[in-house]
Amino acid sequence: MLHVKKALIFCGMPGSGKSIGATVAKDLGIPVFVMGDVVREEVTRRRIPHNPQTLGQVMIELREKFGPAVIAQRVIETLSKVTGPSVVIDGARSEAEVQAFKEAIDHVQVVAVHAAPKIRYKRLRQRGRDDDSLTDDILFERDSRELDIGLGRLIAQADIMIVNEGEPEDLQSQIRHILTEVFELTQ
Amino acid sequence: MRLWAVVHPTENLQKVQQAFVNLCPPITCKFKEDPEFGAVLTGTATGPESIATFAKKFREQRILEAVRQQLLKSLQNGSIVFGMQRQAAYMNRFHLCDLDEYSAMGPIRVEIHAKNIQDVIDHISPPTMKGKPQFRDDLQLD
Repeated sequence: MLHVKKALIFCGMPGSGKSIGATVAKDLGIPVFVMGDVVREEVTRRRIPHNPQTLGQVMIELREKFGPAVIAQRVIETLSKVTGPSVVIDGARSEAEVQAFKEAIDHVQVVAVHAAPKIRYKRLRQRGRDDDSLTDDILFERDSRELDIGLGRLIAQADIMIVNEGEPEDLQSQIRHILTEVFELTQ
Repeated sequence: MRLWAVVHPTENLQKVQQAFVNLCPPITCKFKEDPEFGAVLTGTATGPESIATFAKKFREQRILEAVRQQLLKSLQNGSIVFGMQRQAAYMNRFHLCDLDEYSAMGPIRVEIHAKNIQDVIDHISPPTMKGKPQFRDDLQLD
């Protein structure tokens, strides 16, 4: 039996700034589950090196073997240790995953964080390694993989949409406002 | 090891340089104009001594376990990448921060490449047991 009654699910393309949602939630004391961590744990468990290729491969393998909602299901299994009513989930990629959360939790809302590719690519280069691996072409291909899984549909169908093309402080305060409202926190 | 930071128009270049030197002495710094980011300071250092200051400072500040988690998360293809708060670094305090963090002029990006990156992580931030770091003496730090 889950104590969790409400979940906000953050999604967005790489570099959109969606993980700031997780940072703000942690600051407010709301438990955060990062879906990418499930894949990272699996890669660690298999004792293979961590890099975008292996992470992508393992993610696809898990989906093929256990279905498109496998990562959501693994997160749901760990939700039983949450004692409060609210959680934030970072990094959903498809409607199947959101559907799985909706079956387990009463109130689920999807927040999409969006920014134009040019802005996202600059952010990704700023935090990436200083080599030639992050060209526009390579990042475009990475975007395409995300879209193939169904991320585009999820963003288009989101309950709340935030455009993050300005200052990060703006995004933080917008997210803080949304979290406070949805989880009925007292300020 | 490579350091990288955007130098903002309002910022004193020498202070950013000082922050680089504090993080990783001795270091060779280079200033350049980047078409995408504007003024950028980069720094390069090689050899096991380049990570010695990190290892010492993280130990002194007793934040090994937090650092270790962060470094392991960024591990990719024989290298790690993490952000350091630049104002803290200038004051010779070592604080990790998110690479997405733009507040306070944004982070200094630190990249470490090594033949055996796991050993480098174990050196900078050894696993701890009951709060005591577990050192290994067979580390390869090239």
